[in-house]
Amino acid sequence: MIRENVVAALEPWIGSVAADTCVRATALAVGKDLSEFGQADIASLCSNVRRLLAPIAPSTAVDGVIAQIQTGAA
Amino acid sequence: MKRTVSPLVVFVLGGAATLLLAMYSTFAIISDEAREYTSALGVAAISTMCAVVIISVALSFGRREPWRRQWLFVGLGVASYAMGQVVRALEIALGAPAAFLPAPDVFVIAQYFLLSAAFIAVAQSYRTITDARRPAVIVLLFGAASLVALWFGLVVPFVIPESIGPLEAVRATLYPAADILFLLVPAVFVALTLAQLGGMRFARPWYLVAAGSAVLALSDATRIWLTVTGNYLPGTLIDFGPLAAQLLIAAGSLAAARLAEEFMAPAKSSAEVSPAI
Repeated sequence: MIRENVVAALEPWIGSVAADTCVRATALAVGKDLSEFGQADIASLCSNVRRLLAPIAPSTAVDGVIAQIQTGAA
Repeated sequence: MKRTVSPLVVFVLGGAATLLLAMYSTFAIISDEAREYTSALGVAAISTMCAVVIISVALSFGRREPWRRQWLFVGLGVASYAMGQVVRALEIALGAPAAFLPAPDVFVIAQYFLLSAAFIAVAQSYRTITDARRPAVIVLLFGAASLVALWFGLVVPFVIPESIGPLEAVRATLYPAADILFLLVPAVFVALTLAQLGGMRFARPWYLVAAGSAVLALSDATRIWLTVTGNYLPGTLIDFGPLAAQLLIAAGSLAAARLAEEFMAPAKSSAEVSPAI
């Protein structure tokens, strides 16, 4: 569920492939399978998204996308 | 993001002025000198407006944001083009003789390097989420094919047999080569790299810059081809290709500014809400 929410939030901005890769990379970094990915991992996910988006988007947009992810996950 | 000028207003005025100028310069019944002077003056004024738009957008991003550096490269490139056009208009007005490397050329060459630098910076910023190998192979083949076409389509049939001076022959060869290597190849590379991500919105500003650079390269190469074949008439439609390119690039910067602004309201409201939580 979290994965779908995050991909849905990121897709319009970086496309579905990169959005999905972002979630998978975060899961790999925290040593979990995607099915185990939960609420507790949102902070690392947001940190990973910020790292990926920072070079390709203005900071206000990165903040906005992360806010969307956090709202969707809440 | 701080906004110091209204780029959209400047952009709309610039676009309308370009259209009017192109129509007047091409179709009005005036002397060749007046036509060339009118186009040079108008192109200088409008490209200066474009440079102001892009640089103001670049400076609106924070000092540490990569977009500031990327858009500053683009803005300085367009400013360089604008300076070249100002000098060209002055040369026409004052009847100054052309030097070995005329001053406008120095600025035009600077634009090639600055736009190239911007494309390199953009490609670097996307390297973590895209695969650069496939686009790199494609543009290498594309660049090589374009250079071969330039050699056999322009240099061999027209530049070598014509009795033009050595300086003109070098310019007629090197400018189209620079158009290919410094504008077309980096623009196609960035477009292909971004295309891997689909229709994502963060890439749209750079598609416009890539399109502008392609228009700049193709119109410049066409103008040189017309010149070498003896069909070029100063102040006609082909002279406005580079200007249309600057407008496309300025439109890209406005798209970037719009992206940054779009999130300002939600970001602000969430910041206001968090202390209460």
